Amino acid sequence: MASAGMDNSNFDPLDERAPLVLGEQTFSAITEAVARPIESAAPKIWYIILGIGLLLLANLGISIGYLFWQGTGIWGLNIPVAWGWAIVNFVFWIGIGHAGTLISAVLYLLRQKWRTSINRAAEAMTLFAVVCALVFPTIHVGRVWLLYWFAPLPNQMAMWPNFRSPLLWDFFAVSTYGTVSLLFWYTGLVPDLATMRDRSKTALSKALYGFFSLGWRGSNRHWQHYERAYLLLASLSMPLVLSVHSIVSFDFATSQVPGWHTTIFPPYFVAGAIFSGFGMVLTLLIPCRVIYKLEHIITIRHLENMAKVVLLTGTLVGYAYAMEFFIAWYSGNTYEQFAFINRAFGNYWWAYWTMITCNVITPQLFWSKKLRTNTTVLFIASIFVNIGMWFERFVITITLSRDFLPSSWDTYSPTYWDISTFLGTFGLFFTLFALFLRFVPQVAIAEVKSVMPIADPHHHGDHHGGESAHEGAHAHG
Amino acid sequence: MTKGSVKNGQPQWRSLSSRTNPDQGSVREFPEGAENLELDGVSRRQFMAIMGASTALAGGLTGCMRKEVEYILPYSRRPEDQADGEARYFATNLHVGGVALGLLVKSQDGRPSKVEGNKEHPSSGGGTNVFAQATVLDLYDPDRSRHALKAGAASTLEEALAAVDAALVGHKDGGQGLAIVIDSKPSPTNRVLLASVAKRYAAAQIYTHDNADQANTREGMALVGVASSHPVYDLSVADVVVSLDADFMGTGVDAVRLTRQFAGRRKPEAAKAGDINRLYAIEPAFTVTGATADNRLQVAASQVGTFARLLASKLAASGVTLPAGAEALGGAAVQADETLTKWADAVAKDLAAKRGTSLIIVGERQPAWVHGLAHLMNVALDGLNKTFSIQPDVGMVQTQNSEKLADALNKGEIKTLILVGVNPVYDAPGALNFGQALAKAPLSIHLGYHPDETAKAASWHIPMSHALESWGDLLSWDGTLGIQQPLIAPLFESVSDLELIGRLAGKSGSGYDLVRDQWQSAIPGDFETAWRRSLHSGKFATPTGSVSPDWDWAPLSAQVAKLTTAPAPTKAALEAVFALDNKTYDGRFANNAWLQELPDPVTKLTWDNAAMVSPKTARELGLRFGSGDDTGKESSDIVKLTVDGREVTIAVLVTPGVADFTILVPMGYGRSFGGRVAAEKVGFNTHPLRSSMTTGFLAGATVAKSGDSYLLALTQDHNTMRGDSEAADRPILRHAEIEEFKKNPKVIAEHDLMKPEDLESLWDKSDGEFTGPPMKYMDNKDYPHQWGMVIDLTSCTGCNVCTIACQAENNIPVVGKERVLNGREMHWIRLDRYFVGDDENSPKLMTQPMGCAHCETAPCEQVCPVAATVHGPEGTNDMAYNRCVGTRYCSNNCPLKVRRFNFFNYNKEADTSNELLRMQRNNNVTVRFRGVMEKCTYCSQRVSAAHINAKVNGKGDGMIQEGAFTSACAQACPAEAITFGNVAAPDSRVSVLKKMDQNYAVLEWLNLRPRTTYLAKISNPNPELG
Repeated sequence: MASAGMDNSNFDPLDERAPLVLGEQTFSAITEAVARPIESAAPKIWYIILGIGLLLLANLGISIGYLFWQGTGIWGLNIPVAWGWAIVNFVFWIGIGHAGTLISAVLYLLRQKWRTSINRAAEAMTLFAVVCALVFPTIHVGRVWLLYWFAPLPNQMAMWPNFRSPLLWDFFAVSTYGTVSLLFWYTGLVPDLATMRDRSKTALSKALYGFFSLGWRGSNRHWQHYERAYLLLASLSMPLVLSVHSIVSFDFATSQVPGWHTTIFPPYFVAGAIFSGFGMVLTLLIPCRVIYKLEHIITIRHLENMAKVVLLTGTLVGYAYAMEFFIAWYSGNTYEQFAFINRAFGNYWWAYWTMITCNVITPQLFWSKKLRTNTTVLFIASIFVNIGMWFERFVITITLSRDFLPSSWDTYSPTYWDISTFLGTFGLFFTLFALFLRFVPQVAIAEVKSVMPIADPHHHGDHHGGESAHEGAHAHG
Repeated sequence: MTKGSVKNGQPQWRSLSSRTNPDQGSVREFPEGAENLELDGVSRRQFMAIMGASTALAGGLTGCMRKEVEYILPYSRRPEDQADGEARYFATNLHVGGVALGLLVKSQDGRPSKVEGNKEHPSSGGGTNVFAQATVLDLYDPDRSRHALKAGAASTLEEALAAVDAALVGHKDGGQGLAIVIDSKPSPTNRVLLASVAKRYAAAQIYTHDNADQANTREGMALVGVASSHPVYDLSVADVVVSLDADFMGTGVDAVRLTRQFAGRRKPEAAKAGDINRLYAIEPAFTVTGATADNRLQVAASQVGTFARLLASKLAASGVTLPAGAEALGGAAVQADETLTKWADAVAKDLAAKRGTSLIIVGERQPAWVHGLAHLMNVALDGLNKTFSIQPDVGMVQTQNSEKLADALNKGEIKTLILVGVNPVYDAPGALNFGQALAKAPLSIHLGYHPDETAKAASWHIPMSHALESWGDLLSWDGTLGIQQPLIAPLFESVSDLELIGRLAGKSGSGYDLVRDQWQSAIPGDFETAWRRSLHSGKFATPTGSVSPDWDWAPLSAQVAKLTTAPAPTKAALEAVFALDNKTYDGRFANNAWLQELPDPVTKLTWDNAAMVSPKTARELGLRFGSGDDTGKESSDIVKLTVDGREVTIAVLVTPGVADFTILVPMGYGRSFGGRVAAEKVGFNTHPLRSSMTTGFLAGATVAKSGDSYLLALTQDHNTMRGDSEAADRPILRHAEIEEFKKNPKVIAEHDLMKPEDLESLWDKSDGEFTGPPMKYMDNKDYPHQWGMVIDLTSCTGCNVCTIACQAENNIPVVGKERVLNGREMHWIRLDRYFVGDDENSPKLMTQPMGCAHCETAPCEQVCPVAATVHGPEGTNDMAYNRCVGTRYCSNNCPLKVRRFNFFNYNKEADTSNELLRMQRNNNVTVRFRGVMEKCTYCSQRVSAAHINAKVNGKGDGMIQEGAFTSACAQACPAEAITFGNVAAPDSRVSVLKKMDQNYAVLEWLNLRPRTTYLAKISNPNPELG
């Protein structure tokens, strides 16, 4: 076992499987590594991140307050571009919110064990991204105080919402996704919260961790129920990963705006979402693993695997971009053809080419092993991915500026309040993420232990690690 | 309406406190100051204070606001025929924008709220113009003069009138030094009274100062021997019409009547039969008339006269005998370039071939001799009393012109100057330097509607009543006499122009007495019956007879013989052409926000005027085209425009269709006083550049870039040539030349991207056989009314009146320049303008009215998450404002982009800044609030009213009779281009039109099945001119 170095990316699979955890190979070392940051004083950088987050969060409050006071006119919206940054940001955040569940649910069901080191943080990111995403559809409506009309509540008007509207599907899809993601994340947290409870030194933290760990004692029965629930939730989440962004794409695809009305949107949006989600996970975890000294748990191999996913989905997205052009040409419809030519060469050409550069060209760097195992390159590329995916949504939304009748064409540019609201949601995101880092184990302790060789008493016995590993893990924790 | 019932026409008020303090009675949804927030200058303190309270207030406190106790006071004695809430209509005559129009004005509970054309009055025929439609907003203008001013300080009406009387006492000695300035309003009573003033003060001088005065037209008539008259055209018999710089369907003096007649000759049936009239326009820049023309030639205004001379000689060459005494004009050699000659040749041949049914019309901008030449040619073409007749002016008193007035003032001859309803300090030509001249009169008394520039300069200012508040009479251009009857008592203390002139004549009676007295003596027989009948129908039965002219061509011949050919303008010596603005006229409507926000028919410019030059001229002069990205946010150069030492600064808007080296300068902007809208940095004052009242264009203008730039608010992309080449393969506005259409009637349908049989949908009958696109509810016997609309692009001139009629009818707010720049204008029906053709300097211009098409498979309906926009059983696409939460998804999915969103609380803002505005509101139309979408409803309030009427007064089957009502746009349209009706009735006009070959649906391939369809534009160009 090549446990000496910190690079497990070059492991020869013929000889032996690469270890998923490096460094000291004991259960208690893992617990110690993950729990220590919570129990000791936070590093300075954490305060800085939280401070910036809180500032931006306050800014979000002001932006929303002013919006509610004045109306959506404070944004750069107009007719024909009646959706602007709010919807761009909504889709952007929802897209980011895809990685977590994908990592936890899909990779879990596919028995991808490398997921264990990153799934907790990724899921947290998902939840916070969904929270950020939900801000936008909530505040972007003209009469926000009537938003509850989206819900099929019995009322004296005997009015149902319009079930034909994709916005309504959105309402259900996103709220379902948010709920299931929360439950899934929380279920996975229970054993670790119990660990934290057991390690608590103050009455308050003991009480709080105790409350949220739901009386977990690590008994065999607990583990059995837990595993069953986790499997069920994973199975429930998996279709959601695919459906949420498909449905978000319906907002565009079921309309008849040229450039929106495209059947390729659902798969292309899902690929894009996974792409951006992994991009964001990389952006967050690359600094985290350094700050919290978790390089032996979140290893280069994890980062490399994520880079591969980014490469795959980025290429898929590039294929979709090309296919959109082909179909527009093939349709023989001048309106459709114009919409795409205009994307690339019209007023907003710069946005289009920013998108292409970031989303299609950047991931191609990851064909090179050298680049995809270089954390600096990875980090910068992941930022590019985030920027590119934001621009993708911008490019799509802004297609509105030139639709059917040339007489209605206009341009859109954001106002101060558009920008301030968007930055504000970053404040919300980083505040939540900072609090998560401080109070919740950022790596799934129990799950990581289960993929360590010592969790399995058999030599080369990976294929039936399973339940006994968990039990063992806890027993030694 | 009798004198007594005028008293009912007073504003309604809910309680005494709301009457004395209108603000208190209103329920404020948001606290004081909330609406100021989105302005840029928000103080931090104010902002923080509001922020702190915002969360609580947004939802909470509004519900807890205690409303003031209000009492509704019923009439103790209900006036005859008055039912609360039911509108009544009164016939009246208004002089608006230089046009005397017979109108019907709607009165809702005593508040005049909407103007319609009077079908029985020839000047209107049922149509209106934008000025007439917008006049109700003027009535409720909060900036109108509310009290008299003495040297600029507040005074009272009594004091001011006492000052008038005192001044008159000083002129007892025959009126030496007394001068009266009037506008050109053709009111017989007014002129009779003036005549008696002239008798009373023999030495007093009377002047006319009015940019609407048709001085060149009259002088042109006088030049050929017919004094005090004007020509009246009859386009209903004209097969070929030549416009020589005449915007006779736009800002012209008889535009509504002429538009109706002109369009009457190109109705769909006539187009189908291949028999429509032909219009040639020779003009320096696009006008509404020029855009409608079948053949259009852009030449410098100075070359129009040359063309007229050329045409006269070519007519003679085509076998038309010029009348005796003018033969010389036929043989004269005129220097002209190839294009002009070719055109004159072709036009002359066409005119000659249609002798007796051909007509030449000259615009007021052209000098008198061009008018004279046109009369000569029209007579030679045997048009007298066929295509044109001659009507006497409203005479009785001779007046002098503004130049003489300035002269007399400068010489110190005038001691007392009484200005009646004119504003010469602003709108007199700069060469007259009127402001300085006025200061030389020791006493000046100004009667005006606004506290304007003249009011500020005069010793006294007296508030003038609105025409809807005062009695009067009018002789319309075509010679129909009608009474101007008020619909409401004056809102503020004021006198009418008639009453003031009556006072000068020593008659202190009210306007009602003055008018009645005049007609009592003029009408023989049973006066009371004739009077009541005229009030009911809006006109007196007998029109004034036309004049039999005694032509004298010698002076004209002599004058033309002396002319040298005017040189064409060059880069170094541009030609400045003055134009009455399509919206503010000469500045008199500058404080009317509806008109300010109305997009110009040609440039789509709002809230400003701009000098227009062609792309070629702009390149030569190195002027900016603008940002060039179709943004509608045009950053333009500001230039110094100089003629003869007079200079104005103005933004330049590069516009196709302007003659080379011509710079078109619209008047009517850059006011310094006269209301908040007018004076708030709107546009550029171009009057200082003018040399005289009758000079329409000036040679030798130079342009120098000032280095500044300016943002112009256009509602449509400006860099249109690019937009059009991109849109060239989009058959949105379909058009064909008549020969093409005759040969192949299916040519319009051939533009369809999808054949009708390929457009089956869920709604189609399931028996397997395709029966054409069915109407969704067509077979539903419970709803026999299915509304639909057809817009005839052949008739449409793009005059804009539908837009403003809709605004007046449907309580549509004005949003202001900044928001137009942001693309947030609210008009429910807009006029899409397209330039067509490859030549960026002289393309064709076509307009297409565009409002909600009420698609049967409406894309907006399916995407609304809360079902706020749904289909009505009568096939309309309805908006439930109360249900709308404002996701704006419907607008995104609307292929026509006709939906409008209340990004802010526009109506609330308007009510706050103008407490009178709510008196204009149509009480049958919801006033929309912040955060909801709105759009054309097919005037659902009118549909409902018609239903009620059919149930109450109908045959018992509840069926609304064809023609019982129509939508506001259709009603206002002078060209009758819009037809609204029941598409379920197979023989209704709208159904008949929908079956015609010209009929097409915009974006038919989306299978929207719009209830509004279009009849393609069929033009009739002369093949010789291509």
